[in-house]
Amino acid sequence: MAFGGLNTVVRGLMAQQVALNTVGHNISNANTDGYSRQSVSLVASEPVTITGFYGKMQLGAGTETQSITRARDTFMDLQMWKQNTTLGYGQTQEDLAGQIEGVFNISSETGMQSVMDNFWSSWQSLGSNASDDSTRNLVLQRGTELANTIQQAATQLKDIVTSINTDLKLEVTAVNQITSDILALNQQISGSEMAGGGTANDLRDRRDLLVDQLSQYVTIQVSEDRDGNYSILSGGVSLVDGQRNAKLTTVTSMDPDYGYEVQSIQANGYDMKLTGGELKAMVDMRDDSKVGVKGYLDKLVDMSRFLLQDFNAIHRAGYGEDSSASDATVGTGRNFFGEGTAAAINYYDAKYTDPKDTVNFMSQSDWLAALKVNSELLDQTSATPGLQKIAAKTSNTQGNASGDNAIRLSQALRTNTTNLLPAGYTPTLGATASLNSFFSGVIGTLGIQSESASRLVDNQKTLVSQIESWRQSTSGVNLDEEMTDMIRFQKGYNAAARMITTMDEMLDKLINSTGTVGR
Amino acid sequence: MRITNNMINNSYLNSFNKSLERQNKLQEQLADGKAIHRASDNPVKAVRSLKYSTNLVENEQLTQNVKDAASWMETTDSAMTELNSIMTRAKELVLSADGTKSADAMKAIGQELDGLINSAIDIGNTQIGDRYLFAGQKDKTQPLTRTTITDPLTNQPVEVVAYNGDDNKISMPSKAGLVDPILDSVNLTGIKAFGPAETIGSTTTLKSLNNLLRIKNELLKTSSVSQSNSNGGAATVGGTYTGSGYADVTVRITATAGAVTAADFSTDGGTTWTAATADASVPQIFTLTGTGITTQIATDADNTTSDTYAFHVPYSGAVPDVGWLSAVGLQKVDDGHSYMLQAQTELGARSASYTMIENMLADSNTVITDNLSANEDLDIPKAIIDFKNSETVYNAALSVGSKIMPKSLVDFLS
Repeated sequence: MAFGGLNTVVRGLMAQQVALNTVGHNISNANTDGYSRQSVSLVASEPVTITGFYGKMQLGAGTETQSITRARDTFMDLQMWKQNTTLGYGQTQEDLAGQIEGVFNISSETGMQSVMDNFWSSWQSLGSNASDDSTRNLVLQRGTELANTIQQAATQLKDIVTSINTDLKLEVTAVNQITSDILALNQQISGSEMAGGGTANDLRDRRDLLVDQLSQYVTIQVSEDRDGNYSILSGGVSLVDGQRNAKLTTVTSMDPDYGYEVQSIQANGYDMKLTGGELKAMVDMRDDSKVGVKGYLDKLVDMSRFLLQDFNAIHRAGYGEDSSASDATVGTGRNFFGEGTAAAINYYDAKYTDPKDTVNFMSQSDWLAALKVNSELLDQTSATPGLQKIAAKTSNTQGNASGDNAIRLSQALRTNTTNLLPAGYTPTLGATASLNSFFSGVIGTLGIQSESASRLVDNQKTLVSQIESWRQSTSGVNLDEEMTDMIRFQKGYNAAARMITTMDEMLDKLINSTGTVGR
Repeated sequence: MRITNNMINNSYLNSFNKSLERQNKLQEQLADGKAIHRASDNPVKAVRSLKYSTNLVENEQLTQNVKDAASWMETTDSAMTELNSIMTRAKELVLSADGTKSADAMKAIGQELDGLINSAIDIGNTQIGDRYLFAGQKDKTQPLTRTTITDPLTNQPVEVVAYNGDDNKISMPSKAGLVDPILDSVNLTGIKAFGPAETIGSTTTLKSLNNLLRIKNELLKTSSVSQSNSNGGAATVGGTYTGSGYADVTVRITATAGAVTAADFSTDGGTTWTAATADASVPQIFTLTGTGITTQIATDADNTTSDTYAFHVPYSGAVPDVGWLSAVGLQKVDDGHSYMLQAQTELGARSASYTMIENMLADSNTVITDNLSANEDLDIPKAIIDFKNSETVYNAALSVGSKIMPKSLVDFLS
């Protein structure tokens, strides 16, 4: 019996050691990302049946380490993966909307609005001082400034597209890396658990952390098969399972309207249907015709078309300074923006917007490229200087101090052009909008879009950090708790050790001090 | 709920971050006093701000237009005031030219009137910058020139003030919208100020000034010479015309190397020619037989055969017609004067309406500026209090953090 007792105590010692070891493991990993605290569950050992005077009874045989488990709430994981996807979508959207806002600067000194206001002002000045060359020059400069500002904004928007494409490629690489890591972990975990190695706590922690990371890029549905493999689906595509992971690829194509490079994502050779996450946000913010960069490029094209069509039509209807010369056409019929005269290029002609007419069709980017002040007006060295060709008056019988067409042109920038356009034209921006109200509309839409993206991110951040906090509540390491456990197990170990000493003394007594009578 | 060390860390970091974000935002706003920096800060206010600043630019531009208009009209008005005093002086002169004046005195009056006419023409050519005030829309063309043309009715040379401008309005809009020539015009054309227009042949001339010239001619009764060779040559008229009224004589020369060797003359506009008698001692002097006129035609390189000189010579006994001057002449001066005053009054009325508009624009400028600042300016006291609050929270978070964060049971075990 006494020797059996030694065994019982040794089991106790070893169990306390395992527990202490786990405390140490927990403490070491207190700050490891994705780590869940582990706990040792101890059970009493199989009792020994002994026979006594009154019959058989069961003698406790000490303790046994049954398992080491991680504290993990799978429901929270699922919540986390779902909300993290939305957060990733929102953050990217907020970031890109902020970049677009930077392009449509609203500062009252340097913004596009102030450039348009200056352009308007210059025509008003020309209205009062139509015969003054320096005022005519000012109109050309302000016009150039406006054209440049719109072009510059278009270039900046295209730069955003380029950076989105770059990021998209990087993130696709990151997704592939994550899924291949998850595949490796799947195989390790199922391998070690199937071989009876117990729950692979630390490997599972690492795999869950990878899934956390994956969830910010794409929407995922995670399920675990009976071998312990994670199968992850996204948009109907199996990203990873126990056997393989899908390699996502990017495919380069050209945007049909603007000709810039577009990266799209394919899985197994098919276009991938994105439903959320950063990847979806990037594609949306690039291609969407309402909220995306492309939508805002379209708005710039609309402004450009307005200037090339409506504004030009009114300019062409006026007369330049030398209309009284023998050649009455000199000084009139010219476009202010774009090249040439009515006869050469009529941006208003319907055929320039009909895509079936491949020769004369102007694509969106053509409209942007065409927007610059007519080089004929800028050329001051020709026989009739360009300044004189600015059509400030409405009739060739007027003197050059008449600026009534300049006022019409300034009015066209402020109000709807229905009543200003010559017969047969329809306003580019619709029956009620003016260039000004159109631009305000763009700014308003952009502001609301960006604001709601920020609000979504704020809310989502709160939600995600709440979930994170619940998760930490279950899985996080509390050092006080670990210290308490340490003391607990240390005391247990000490006690067991004392037990061994006691037994040792008992055996010493038995072996060395008994049977010495008469010695 | 079970709380772990990392939870405390995370929530501490989160709130710390939020506090910093808030301070960053307040800092951005306080730095330039504007509450809105991008459309998403407040889309409604941002769009309203755009509208207000556009209104402000509009208001400033219209104010500029009105100021341009005011300076134009003030300059016009002071020119008209000067013109006014010229006409008053002209009237005095005509009144003083009565029968008591000697021929010399009459001539002196005529010469002063001539000077006044030149001053009036100078006024008509007043410029603001390089724009002529009285030229209508042809503001880069000098509008008034004193010249002699042939009156197609009498076929006689007549001295006139020709008008080279037009009768169109210059508009300087004082309100948004299209030009309205009735409301927006700022100029008096030459025809309005010195007119009405009197068309002689194909030349537009100004009646009020023409009338002054007629009076001046009556006062001076001088001969005039005009010639077909515009490059040179000079002729003087001597002798005394023996008929009544004026003699209009055309002299046609024969020249060798610029020196006149012979001359014909015609009194009926060139139908019949009579040879002039050359002076025996001075070859350049010719007597026009039967008219009493002699002429001296100087040698000039530009004289060529068939050049003509037209003489308009008054009857030797001609004196200014005092009766005509006091009745018709005076009436013409008065008519011209009242025509000018009418133009000036019209200008004054429009000038007053521009002054009123300028005041209105100044008022609405204040309103728009107020609106703009109410819309986008930061409530600074509130922002500073907010900033102080967030600073306090930030400091508190720091100090609590430093006290609580590192503590755990570890610190108390030995």
